[in-house]
Amino acid sequence: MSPKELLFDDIYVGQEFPGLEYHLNRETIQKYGEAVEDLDPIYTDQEAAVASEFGGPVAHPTTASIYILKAYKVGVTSPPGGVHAKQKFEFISPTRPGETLQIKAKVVDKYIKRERRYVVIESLAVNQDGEPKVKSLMTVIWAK
Amino acid sequence: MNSRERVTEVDIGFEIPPVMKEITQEKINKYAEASEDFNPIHVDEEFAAKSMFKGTIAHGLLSLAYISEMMSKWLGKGWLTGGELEVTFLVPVRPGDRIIAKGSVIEKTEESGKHYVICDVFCENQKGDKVISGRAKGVVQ
Repeated sequence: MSPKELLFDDIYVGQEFPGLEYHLNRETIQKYGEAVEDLDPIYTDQEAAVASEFGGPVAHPTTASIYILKAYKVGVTSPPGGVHAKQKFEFISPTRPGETLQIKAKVVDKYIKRERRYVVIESLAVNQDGEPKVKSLMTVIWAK
Repeated sequence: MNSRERVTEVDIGFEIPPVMKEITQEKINKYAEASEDFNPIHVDEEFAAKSMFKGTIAHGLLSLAYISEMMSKWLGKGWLTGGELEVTFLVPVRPGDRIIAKGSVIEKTEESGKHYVICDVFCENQKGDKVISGRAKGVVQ
């Protein structure tokens, strides 16, 4: 059975999505670094990262882009063709390879403006020790 | 990551070293793979041609990553620990575009003993159009 498509009319303010568990590993970070063309040694070179101000490898802060999108698609799909309108990130502390993140997302606003459907989703990622890592507030134009 | 500035060395108006990228459909596809975001507006040319964009567009979060790269290369730990970024996606980025991430310091503040810089940040395309624009706040150590 394919996941249910989450339509704008089904979304409500205060709606909480089931938590997402996301394991961040070296391969993910390397692949992301290649895609955004940012292979800074703090992300990709163990030895250089250990010698850096971070004391070990870290992830690009914007790898959060991967899991904030997944966090509102747990058990559902969003209609194809949605467009990102706004994004806010707070990078509280660096995420690192080997961490397992728990991401909780909820709808904090929805509205229609110029015949476009907007949904605002807030999310917070914490690691396995309960340390907050990244906060996100994204505004998406919902396709239908 | 060794070029972090001390607060005394950063003046209002300081221009952050820019980051330049060229966008291709291959790079958009690669970002889709890496971010696991296969929205057809980015990767399906037939679907995208029928959309309001009349063709594929890059993920907004790809342009946002260029701004974050610019900030992390400049501030290092002061970006990854305590950085904030808020942007609006203004104009679609398309295959063939050349994108430059730019920014400048507009304000300096001190909160709980930490020195922060607040910056105007944006990406512009080869026509000089701002495709993404907003504010970034980072710690200057």
